[in-house]
Amino acid sequence: MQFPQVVVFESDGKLARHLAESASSNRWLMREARQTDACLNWVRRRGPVVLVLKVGRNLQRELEMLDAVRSSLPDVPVIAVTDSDDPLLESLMYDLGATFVLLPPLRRSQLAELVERVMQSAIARLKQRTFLLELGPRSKMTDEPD
Amino acid sequence: MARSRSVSDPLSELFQRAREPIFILNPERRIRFVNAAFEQLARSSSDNLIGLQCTSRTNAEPLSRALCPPAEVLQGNEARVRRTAPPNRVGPPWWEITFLPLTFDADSSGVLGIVRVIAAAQKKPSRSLPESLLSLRGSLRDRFALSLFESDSPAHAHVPAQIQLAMHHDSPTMIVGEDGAGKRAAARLIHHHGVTSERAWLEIDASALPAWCIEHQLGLSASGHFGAVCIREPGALPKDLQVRLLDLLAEPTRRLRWLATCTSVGRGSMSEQLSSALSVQVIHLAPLRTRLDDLPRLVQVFLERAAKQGLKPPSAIAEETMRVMRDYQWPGNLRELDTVVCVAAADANGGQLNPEHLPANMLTEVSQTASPAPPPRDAPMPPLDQLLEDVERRAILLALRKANGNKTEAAQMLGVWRPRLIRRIEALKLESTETTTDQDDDDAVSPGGRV
Repeated sequence: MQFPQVVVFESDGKLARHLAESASSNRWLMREARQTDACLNWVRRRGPVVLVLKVGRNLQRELEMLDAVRSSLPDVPVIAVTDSDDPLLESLMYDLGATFVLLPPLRRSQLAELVERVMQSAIARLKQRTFLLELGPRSKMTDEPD
Repeated sequence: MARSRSVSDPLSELFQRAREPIFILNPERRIRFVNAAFEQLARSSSDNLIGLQCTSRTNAEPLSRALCPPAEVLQGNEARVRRTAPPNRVGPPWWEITFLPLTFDADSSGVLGIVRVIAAAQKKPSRSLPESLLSLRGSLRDRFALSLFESDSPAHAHVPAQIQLAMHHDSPTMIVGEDGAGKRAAARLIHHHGVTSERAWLEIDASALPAWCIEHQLGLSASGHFGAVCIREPGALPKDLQVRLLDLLAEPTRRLRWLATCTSVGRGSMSEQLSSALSVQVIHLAPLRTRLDDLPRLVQVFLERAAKQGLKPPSAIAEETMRVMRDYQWPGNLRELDTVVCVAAADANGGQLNPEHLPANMLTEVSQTASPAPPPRDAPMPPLDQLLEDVERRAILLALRKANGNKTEAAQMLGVWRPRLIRRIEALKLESTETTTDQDDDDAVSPGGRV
């Protein structure tokens, strides 16, 4: 399995700094992307991925990014972090497939804890899927009717 | 006047002066102290409150349930939870309670709780999002189509009708199926084409999110912005949140559809009450290996979808390619098929999709399952029990190998509880095999290596 990676899509690098310690202690690769294409390329790589998406500076671009990730990679968890407490925006992000939307006031420990839990789950799911893929075809005899 | 029991006087005075409502529980989870602010909040005197047992039992008083500390606090960790303000059954308002484990002296411990009241959000002036953003929501409806579930196979033929039935009501619906069978896509389809499609979708991933996130999302479900809430693996919810969810499900006034997706109904520790409350309608999605006749149509569905995202579709699909795909067992179900088809189409780059465009491991698996010569007709059949034991042994060894010998992790992979795995290891006498395997022969536990 490839290294787990946290991809942070933002323009100012603040969230990446918040997550750097957690990523380093867990031995995750930390990717900072500021361009949509670069971000999608990182997210498409094999292995467990969590996308942290900062929403608020350019809503159109950020929400299109969320939509693009969820339509092509529905299993990648996306944590949206926003400065706005607009319930309409929050519901739209959930509708587009955000795993969780973090609203202000945001504490550093909350974000790190959330990313850690979601990453652990992504790793466990990927292991389970790899396990099934290895086990599956040979279990044919138990499934096939005569 | 608030009073305290077994709390030192200076500390008691300090807490009494605090503006925040504060309470202290003893190790038996009975209230031993409340300050004046808490008395005011609970609208009850300390004489009535002290001694109250705080428990998450369904039949307990609302206040008792609201103040019950989560399990991690009893293990010595800090926790923050959001509970409905008693005596209400659903918020807002909520109480956000921070639980801190305490030790007064060597023999006495307890839990300190600080309550913050979260009122209903102020109604904002009718600010709406730009049309270009809202149009993103409109495209969701087209993304989830019934074509993924239409089938001629007897195992799956009833599923489209069941999904259509679910679109026409808003009763809780449970969708059960193997990993990758399309449970979430079916849930989304029901919502976006159903009676609740006007409002937003909320998915709660119970196995991935911390409890405070799930509490927050359950609170959001009452906000009126959401039309459907889908709980992924509800069996993974902590017990207190299962009780909270039951309360929300019992709320008759709110028009909200509840959906749940899980790999099996009995998996996890879902209470019977919750299981039955979420299973008004149950839809079982059959694994792909039982509906292989649908393969050509499903391949077309995935190719069309990929073409919309800019992938060049293949000019044709070779007969041999379809044969390989039919012979494969698809343990990853629709998710795996989607990946295989997209990668193969990208490799084919507009040309014919041939077997060499399929993943190498898939070709190997198919050739291995196809190549063994059939046993002679007069060969004795092995007993069924022996066959099943062999399969079980192989699965356990593989899981243990994947988990580097960690039985808890292996049990999770196999979808069983750890004690059961240990019992099976003992029954199959795998301890010695496993040790030998780890030390001597790594290949011995590869799929099919020993059996």
